[in-house]
Amino acid sequence: MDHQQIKEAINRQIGEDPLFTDKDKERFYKNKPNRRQRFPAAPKIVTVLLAFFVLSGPFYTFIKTDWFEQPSSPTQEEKEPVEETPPAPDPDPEEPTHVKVEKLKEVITSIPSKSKVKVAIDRFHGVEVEFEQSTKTENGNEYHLLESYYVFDRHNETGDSSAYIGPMPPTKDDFKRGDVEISLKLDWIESESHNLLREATLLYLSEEGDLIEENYSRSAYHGKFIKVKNPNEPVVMDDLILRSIARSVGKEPDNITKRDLLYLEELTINASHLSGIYEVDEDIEYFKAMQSLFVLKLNQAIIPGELLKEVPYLDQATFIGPTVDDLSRVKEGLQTITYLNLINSSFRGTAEDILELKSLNIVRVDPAVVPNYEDLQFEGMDVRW
Amino acid sequence: MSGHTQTHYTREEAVEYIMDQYGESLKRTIFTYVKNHHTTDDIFQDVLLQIYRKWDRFNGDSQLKTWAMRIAINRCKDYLRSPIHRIKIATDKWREQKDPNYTEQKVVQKEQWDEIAEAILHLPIKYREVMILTFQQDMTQKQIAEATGTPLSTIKTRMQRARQLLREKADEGGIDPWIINK
Repeated sequence: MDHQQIKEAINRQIGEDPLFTDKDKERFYKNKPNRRQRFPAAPKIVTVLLAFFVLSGPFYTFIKTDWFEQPSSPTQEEKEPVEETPPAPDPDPEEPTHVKVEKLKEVITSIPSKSKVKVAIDRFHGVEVEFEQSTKTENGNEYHLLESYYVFDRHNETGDSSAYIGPMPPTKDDFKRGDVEISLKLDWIESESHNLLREATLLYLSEEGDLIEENYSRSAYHGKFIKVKNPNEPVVMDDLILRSIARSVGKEPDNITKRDLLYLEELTINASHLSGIYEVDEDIEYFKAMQSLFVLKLNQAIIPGELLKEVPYLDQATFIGPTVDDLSRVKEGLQTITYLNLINSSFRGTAEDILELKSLNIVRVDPAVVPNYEDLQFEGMDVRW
Repeated sequence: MSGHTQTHYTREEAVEYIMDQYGESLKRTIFTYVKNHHTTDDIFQDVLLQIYRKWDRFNGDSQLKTWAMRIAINRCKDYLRSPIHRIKIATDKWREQKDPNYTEQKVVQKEQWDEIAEAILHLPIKYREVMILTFQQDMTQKQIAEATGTPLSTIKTRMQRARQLLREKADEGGIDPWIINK
């Protein structure tokens, strides 16, 4: 069935004129709950309670005061009020690092409030080492961005201060010396109405002695952490792929580290200047590190399926040139993609080949070379050319 | 607002954005469930209020449109299950609720596409929704599964069954079978 024709016909059936008008907006704003008026008596109750506490304080002091005793030390009275937080259970000082990390991750992924994060950090005696504030304006609204760095030190049992004072992030040696057990960086967006934890990065040593970096972004990776081993380790790859990665992340090829692979979102390998097909054959660990890679374009180049399948969130793939006559070499690694562009490729396979890609929704393919392309449409796939 | 920037928005801004970007789509989808303009208006308001109240719970796992669509679909299904709807359906005729210009327009256009669209709108709700969300809302099967809270395999089966029902309708006459198989 012709998608556009059906769409237009359904819309004709519903009505040619727009259904959504300013009246809908006006009606919503008229009926929108006023959050401050949800409990109109609240201000009065607060006033009464406040008055009660104000008056009961001096009265209590009056009846309890021993008028013949010496006044107490002023330092005892001027203690800072402490933010009320739920009582935290005593942490087990012998708790392994990975257990603490998992507990912190659990809090981070729970869309926490600032106070909830503070409770978790205090529980493990985390100390804020550095912070940086900036302001950003978007769509006329002003947001405050706050980056906070914390360290957790196994020997710090009070949480008052840390032997480690920076710079952040700590190096692998700082972890090995035991100066830092876990480092945590939190990025908050603060607006008048609420605070949102946008991103979190954890660093710690694994039991095998590798430095592990884990990153959480609220708007990416399906709400899960991505992880890389020894993020500062330089990447040793073939020149063409290294230059392709460098172009993507805006760095010199010699300076590419495994951390860059972790945050690499798009990769284009253009081997059209070569006489043959450029076949990528690199250490599988590098592909495991590419946990942000979303878009892949291969021009006269191919990455075998057994390597591609290690890229967990690959969403879009484009093949150009004589690399995929059918999808047998790559299909294993394309099971997460939702978009596949074969329009400028040598693909001569069938609809069944394409249907083997379980997540695929949109395919660009020449209908002249896939005679049974209607089968794709029958399965609800959007076929474009 | 999709993907990386949605976290910046307050609930007021989110509703404003959804109204501006998806208001028309949401209302058209609601209409295909309830087939009544007044009810569509009322349900749309409920949907906006729910989006306003639930904005804190939107965690970005799904696309914003899919999330809003899911709220709308659930609200429509609640309505269709409600006793009020069951009473109303006895007196409410879908044809009477259509665009008043439709009859005249149809005479002029009287196309096969209109016939098939009408047939889609008369399918049972579970088949109608997969067809509407696919063709009218351009949603992928994965997004439909997400928006309706139904397994992907079920959506695929319903899509096949919907096409089969349309073919049967074509066999009864009124629709050129070629157009369905096209």
